[in-house]
Amino acid sequence: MTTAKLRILTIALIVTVMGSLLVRPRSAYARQNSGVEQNSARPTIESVSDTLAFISWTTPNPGGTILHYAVVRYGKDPNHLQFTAKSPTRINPSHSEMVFRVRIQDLEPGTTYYYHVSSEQANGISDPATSGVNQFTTRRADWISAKK
Amino acid sequence: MKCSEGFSLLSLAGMTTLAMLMVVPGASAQGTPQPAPPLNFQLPAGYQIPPADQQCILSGQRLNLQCIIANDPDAKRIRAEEAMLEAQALAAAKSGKLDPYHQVQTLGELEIFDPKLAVNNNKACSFCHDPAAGYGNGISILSVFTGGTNPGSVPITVHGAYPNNRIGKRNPQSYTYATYFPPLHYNQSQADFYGGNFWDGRATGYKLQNAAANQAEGPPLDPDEMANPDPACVVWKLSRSNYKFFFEQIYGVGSLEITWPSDVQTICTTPIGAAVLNGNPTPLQLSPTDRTLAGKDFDEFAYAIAAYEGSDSVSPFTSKFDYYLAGKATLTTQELNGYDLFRGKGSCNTCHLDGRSSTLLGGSDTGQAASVQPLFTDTTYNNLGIPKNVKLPFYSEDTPDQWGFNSNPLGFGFTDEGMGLFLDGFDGVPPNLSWGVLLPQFEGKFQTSTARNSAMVPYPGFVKAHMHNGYLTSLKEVVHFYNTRDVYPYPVLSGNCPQGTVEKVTCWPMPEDSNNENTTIGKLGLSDEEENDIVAFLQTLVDGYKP
Repeated sequence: MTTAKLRILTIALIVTVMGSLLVRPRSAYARQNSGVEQNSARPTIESVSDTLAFISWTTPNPGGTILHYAVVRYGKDPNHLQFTAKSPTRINPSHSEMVFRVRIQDLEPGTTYYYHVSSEQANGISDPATSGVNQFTTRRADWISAKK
Repeated sequence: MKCSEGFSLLSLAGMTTLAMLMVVPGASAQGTPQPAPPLNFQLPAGYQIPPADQQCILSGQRLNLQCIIANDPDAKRIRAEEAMLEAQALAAAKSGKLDPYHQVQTLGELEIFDPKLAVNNNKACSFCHDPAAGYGNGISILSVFTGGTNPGSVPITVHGAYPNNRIGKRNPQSYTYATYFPPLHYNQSQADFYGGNFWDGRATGYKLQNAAANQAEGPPLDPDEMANPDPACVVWKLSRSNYKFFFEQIYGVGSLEITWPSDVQTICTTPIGAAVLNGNPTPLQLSPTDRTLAGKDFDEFAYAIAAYEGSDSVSPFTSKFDYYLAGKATLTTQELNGYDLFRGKGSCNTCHLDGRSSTLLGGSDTGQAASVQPLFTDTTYNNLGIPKNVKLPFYSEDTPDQWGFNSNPLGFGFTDEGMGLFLDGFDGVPPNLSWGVLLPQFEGKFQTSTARNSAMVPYPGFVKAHMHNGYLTSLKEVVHFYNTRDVYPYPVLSGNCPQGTVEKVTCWPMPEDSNNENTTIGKLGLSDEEENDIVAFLQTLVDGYKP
């Protein structure tokens, strides 16, 4: 074996070992992810009416049970998120990312709510991605009649 | 371990058990009695009421069900079909040429197309499960006016009653591929229910270890369907059928030789739920030996039906997609686009398992079929947030009929909680007492139907009802609902969408039961063209394709 070949093999070995050390042990699903942050959920308000809101966020596929729950804890006081909305959702093992969406109903019109999102498996085990506390404001009660 | 610790642990275990047992029927929230609201709906685009049915339309967009049964062209077509198939099956049974495998299936066929098995000798299973409609509702006008719910065997003759026939609360579920569903079980590692039959999973199959057979025992005894008052009455009818010889050929000579009481005719022509029966589930007075034999016969009757449902006549895996998997058919560009969306952007195959890999968000399709006979369902249960279908005549079935039976005392106040009703004991205590505590997680959920044959219709222009209450009446509506449920949500009942919106297009009324509403769907971001592509793909799942 020439010196050049030996050098290439050595470099390849180092790269392989370093690479395997740098890859965090994650599920087969998560390994396919296309760059969405693993532990940070960045929710967006899909829509909000006077009493209803939809919040969504995308994470790498967390694996685990097929049935998952998207969870939003919310309240009028950012330091006291006393309500919880959980929406069942199903993960597709073949998909690299997972869109979580939560329906929050029975909100008060014209009110600002603070919320925090997370998700969990059907057996209650939490997924890694969570968010900080964000906020949204519901519409006034007359918004539907205003559309007529 | 100290005694006190042992006591505490035992107490805890005991309390847990007690808590599980204390989840008793009636625990979930049902509404208070309410009258059904007036109807106000548009007929589906292009739909025209058949001339023969014009006379059956009552004021307020309601149907004279007796009139429909007698005159509707689909009802006539179905009766003609079932008579033909019954005759064919009987000829095959008499031929002596069937092997044991086909004997059982043929017996099931004879049973399924036999209208005499209903209490009034007037409704076969196939009346509600039309082969030409994918073994679902085959009467187009019912899809339009009643959510696909079918009138059962018992007319209601109380003067002025609406509806004028007992009628169920749900759109008849197709039973194609139902025999491939395992008995209902709670998968501990997935923390989820799988299997079972019926929209709500109550045909668990726990005793027969065959969910489809368990399902087959339901409609013959359902007050709103075939309405027999006693399982032994079905056996009595079998013993008088022209295929009795065939049943005994399969299940043993003397199987149907039961000493019937002198009042068998009177009891077996009295529909279940009649006040005179005093709620007795077995009013026929039989000897213990004969009661045991009748129970065995009833189970065998059901097994034969399940065998037919699993036969090549019902579940043949002969769709264009099946031949595509076998390399014997080519999908069109639109069908392929639809397929990619089905397993990609639409996330349809998350529940309607297609047995293949996915293409969402940069993933790649290996092209390898994990299963060459995918069921297009994972047999789980989900609440899709389907709006209450105000068209259901069941909501008006709130007063006693001439037999003293009141199918729905709550009227419009009834909420169909799907599996929640089953777990809550609506149809009797669930066989597994540990399931009761799961009620909060499964209220509002219905079984994921197979997408196979969802596009099968008897003829072009036929309106097919989809979902448990038939609220959606085309596959385009189904896909559009999945795509935009949460884009156009309005806190209104069907028929009350705000001005400027169009129901089912830019307005989705609130869900009948918002508990556990699934958010895998609701905002898929599909274009109109992409919705159409998925519909095109669904049409490749219709059996009977000729490659």
